[in-house]
Amino acid sequence: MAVSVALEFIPPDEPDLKALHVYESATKTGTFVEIDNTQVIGAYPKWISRYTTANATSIYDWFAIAWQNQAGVLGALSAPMQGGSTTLVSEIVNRVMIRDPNLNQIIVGQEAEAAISEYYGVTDPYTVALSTVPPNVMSGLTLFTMARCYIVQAAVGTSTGTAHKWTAGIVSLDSSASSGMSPWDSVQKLLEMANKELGRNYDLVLLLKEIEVAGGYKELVSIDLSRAIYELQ
Amino acid sequence: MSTVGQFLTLLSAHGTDTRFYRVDSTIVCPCRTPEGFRDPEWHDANPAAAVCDPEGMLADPAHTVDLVVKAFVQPIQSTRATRLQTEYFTAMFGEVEADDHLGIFPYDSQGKVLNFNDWSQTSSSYVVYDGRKFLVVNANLIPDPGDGSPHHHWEVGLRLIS
Repeated sequence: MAVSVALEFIPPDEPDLKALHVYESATKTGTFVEIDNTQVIGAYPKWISRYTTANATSIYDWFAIAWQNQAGVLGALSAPMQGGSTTLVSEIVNRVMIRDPNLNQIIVGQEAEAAISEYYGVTDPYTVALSTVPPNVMSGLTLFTMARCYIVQAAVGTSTGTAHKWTAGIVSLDSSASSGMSPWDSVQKLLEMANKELGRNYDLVLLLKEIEVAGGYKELVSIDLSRAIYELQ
Repeated sequence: MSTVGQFLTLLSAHGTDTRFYRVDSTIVCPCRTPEGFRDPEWHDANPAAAVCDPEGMLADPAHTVDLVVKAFVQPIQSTRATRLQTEYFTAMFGEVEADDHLGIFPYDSQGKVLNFNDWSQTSSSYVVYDGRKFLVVNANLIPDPGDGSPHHHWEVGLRLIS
């Protein structure tokens, strides 16, 4: 009798995917046989990251997935994962996305893999069993992954620190940040918390100069309601 | 890239609730006499009926926009004291009167366009700010400096009715 098994995974950063294939094996190193596939996989860049197959033989078997692209080419099998379990990478990704749903899940997945690999000194982050990770380390890895994602965001100019300056009629807006704390300060705080949880020292050293606005004049918010000029700096 | 989103964020955070009421079409009130006059006696006899304008016309609900939107509204007299050039408010108001206000409104809200052009001067259409009604005496639709769209925001001259 077939049983249902929920699978969580990190979708690839490929724009032309067509289908997801699910495989099952009784053992981790055994032969994986396709048991299910679906073409309901969302749309790029938000491919599905969860799928429940109703065709599994046992919830305790091992499962793997493979993505098929529009040309019909089937990608490599993923690392096997036991039914009813989740990987440390998936858990970290879920925790990061709960804290900041605006982050790109694909980037979060990649940075979570890197953070785990670096912390545990392993090449394959999927070899670290979730059950062996204490809560403080889980929290530290979550914060460390978030910091890595924000550094990537800032580097490509999509962070809140991007400067905006425009004038339309008598309305003008001049902003260099949307909050009182610069994005680099926030990343530094995240790293400090992560260091504390992970018991190590990892610092942010980036030689990026902060953007100056209006000749270096900076003010958080300046709104002159009595003179019809609205400025956000 | 459009800057409308940033402007709306600014409005949402710092704007004041202001009522936009515009009637673009009217229907004849039942009180209207065959001679084309408004009949106050009919309204006395029918107190529950909607009150028409002095010409015996009622707003057509199908062509009426009635919205409460976030806007920046302030007295032009405090505005003129400092930053705006004289030419600006002279063009906007002609001769400035006491209680004239300057309004900055979004181009649209809740899926409806706020049209300030060709504003009726009969007080059938009005803007309500801080409990007071204003007529629109002039309006400029400002384009978006980000992407060139003509629909960034409105700058409106408001004159007090009551």
